Amino acid sequence: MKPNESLLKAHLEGAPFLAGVDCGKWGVHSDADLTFPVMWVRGDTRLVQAGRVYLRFDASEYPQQAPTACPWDITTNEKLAPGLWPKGASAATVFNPAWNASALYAPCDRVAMKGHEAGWMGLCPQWWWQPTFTIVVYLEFVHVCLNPADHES
Amino acid sequence: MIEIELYVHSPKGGEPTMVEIGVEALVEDLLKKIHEAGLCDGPLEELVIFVEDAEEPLGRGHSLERCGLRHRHHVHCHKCHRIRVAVLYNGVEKQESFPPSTRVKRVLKWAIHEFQLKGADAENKVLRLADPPQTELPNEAHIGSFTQPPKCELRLCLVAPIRFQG
Repeated sequence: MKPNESLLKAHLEGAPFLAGVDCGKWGVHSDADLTFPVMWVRGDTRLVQAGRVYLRFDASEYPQQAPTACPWDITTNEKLAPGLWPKGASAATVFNPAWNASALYAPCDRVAMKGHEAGWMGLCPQWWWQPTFTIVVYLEFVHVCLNPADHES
Repeated sequence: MIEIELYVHSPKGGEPTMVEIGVEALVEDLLKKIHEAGLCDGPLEELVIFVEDAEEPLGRGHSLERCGLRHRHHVHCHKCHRIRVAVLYNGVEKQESFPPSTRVKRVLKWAIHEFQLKGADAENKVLRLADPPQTELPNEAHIGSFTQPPKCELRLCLVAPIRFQG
């Protein structure tokens, strides 16, 4: 097992990740390949029709470098068609296939971070990826985006 | 003895740690285990354990089973019995005391009610630390995780979440 895979495996077995699983916030769909695991995050059905979005991660160099992820169609095992990406005010900026159909526009996404050091690092330090972070930060960010009114539940 | 896993929250950060313990163990035993593992600092006799969102701490002499603790329940170990929370919104401050095991989402709900926010104004609000690093608090986190004893106070701002612009 590669170092990135063994660290990710350890984080998937850790309390912060399992606490999210236990309360239905996220889960693992497939971790046969730990560099490219597929996970899901629960979403408000007003933003995500199916109630959850599947993400295929690229965890190469994890956690020294941030992961990147794109919405995934688990039935065809390929990228989710742009028309099926989450929609709505809090989600559309992050889930923006017009910007990049292979990544999320997020401060914890390796692809999106490039060029945003000056702005995002100071604006949202809790989401700006650090090597000390775990996959839970990415999942929490997506969960917040997809559940804007979660406090009402 | 049947072993259960508990999510333990403490002033040492927003994320829980898993602790494994027998269901027949006493709350005192759980406190010792948490203290020995370095998950919660301070004199052992001054520490208390709350069940998530509970109003009162658990009795030290009670068994976990009697306290109703089950596999993967969330508890909070803290020195403060109550946290004095001040929430700022549009220059106005509201205060209330909560147990350290109170989830952020409950405080958020209270704040939205106190500031009489409705409709679109009530939607999509978050609580952020008023002081640096001004971290946005996750809804499932416990407020005690952001309060370092001996200080039993927390100052928060009720704000709209940051939007990422292209």
